[in-house]
Amino acid sequence: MSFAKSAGGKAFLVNLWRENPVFRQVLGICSTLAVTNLVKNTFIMCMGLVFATALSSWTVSLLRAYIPRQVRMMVQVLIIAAYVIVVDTAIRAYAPEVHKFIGPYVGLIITNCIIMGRCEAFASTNPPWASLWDGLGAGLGYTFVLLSISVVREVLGFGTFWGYALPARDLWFHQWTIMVMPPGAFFMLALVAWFANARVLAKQKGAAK
Amino acid sequence: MKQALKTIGFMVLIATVFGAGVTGIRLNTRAILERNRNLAFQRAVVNVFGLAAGIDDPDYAKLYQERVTREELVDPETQQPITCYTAYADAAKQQPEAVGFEFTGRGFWAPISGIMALNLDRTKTIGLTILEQQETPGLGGRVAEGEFTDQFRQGIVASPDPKGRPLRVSSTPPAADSPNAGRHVDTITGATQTSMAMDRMLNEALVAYDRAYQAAKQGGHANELR
Repeated sequence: MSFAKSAGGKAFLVNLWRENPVFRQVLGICSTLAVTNLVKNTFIMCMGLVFATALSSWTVSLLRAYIPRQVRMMVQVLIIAAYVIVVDTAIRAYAPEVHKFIGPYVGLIITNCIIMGRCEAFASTNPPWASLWDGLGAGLGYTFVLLSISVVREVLGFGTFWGYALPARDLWFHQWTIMVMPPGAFFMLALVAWFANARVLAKQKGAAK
Repeated sequence: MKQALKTIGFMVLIATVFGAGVTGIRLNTRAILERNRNLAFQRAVVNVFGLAAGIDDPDYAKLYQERVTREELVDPETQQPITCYTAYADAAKQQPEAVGFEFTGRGFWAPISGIMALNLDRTKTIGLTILEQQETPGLGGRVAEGEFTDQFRQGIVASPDPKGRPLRVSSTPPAADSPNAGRHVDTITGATQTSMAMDRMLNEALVAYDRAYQAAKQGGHANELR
């Protein structure tokens, strides 16, 4: 059986685009608005989220038969918090310069709705490996949207990419301050959601015909 | 009752397992974190005084040990201690070339702390470094980046004006012939609150440092303070 047809493969692929957590499930919007004005910060936080989502889903799935139903959310938060602390410690130890800038946001991964959403919606009723792939797909789908937004915001807001000035920046660049500020994220998120939903809906209509 | 006990037991068990795991990771990385913290601090001090300029692959720990001294002054008005530094041109610490002090104040989200370096007669800035801040990444967080801090390398007038306010952090530079022309620092675009916080805390810190230095000088500690 090919990866795309396996339970894990299906969960992985569907989260990347068709059921993307940001523009289809409307999860993780706070951080989408908060950290997307610099590509580097966005990328590092997204990698932390991919790690935390995948491993939290895997762990919740492993323990799903033992977790008492009435405390399942407390257990999920505890598991998520443990993995996020691991991410925070790793960045603090091995990329201290980066931690200086995104430290406050790493802690906030704990409250990212995507992680809890995937634990509750998928991992609590599916086997561990499928849940791991589901978490990876959701994390990477989120990363794809955030990076798309951050590239536009950083280029228009700072005239840089990954912190490096674009060619002949002094000659052509005029700062769009709004792109650096939170309203810029609202505009970009709306545009991405509009574009992506139009594509998904058009495809679904085409398939229905 | 049995179910409730089972639930509590499960929570205790899982909290213990994950708590122990996280504690283990923190203990294992403690030495690295401590080393990173020390190195970051020493590098910040060395860089704010420009001691590593022109040196390829500088050894920040050695430069800090050999060319920087640290002492405490007390602001006579608030009785708050101020950590001060003197940078030397030589490893024997005979030729002082700059002074500096630590400052801290309320930023937009959380306290901001850093070190300001001044020339030896304390009239102009020669550098600024931010040790800790938790401002919005990409907005107020740029207070720690070169675009903001490098302005202080240009020799901004640091002695208090007649109103007792040394610096002017603002988005509009004064006219070239204005008495405040040499006191101007550009704000951070899109971070008005952080810029206002920096204006407030740097001015307060400069004035407090001046008071502490004058008090120490009158108390006969001028030589120690260079």
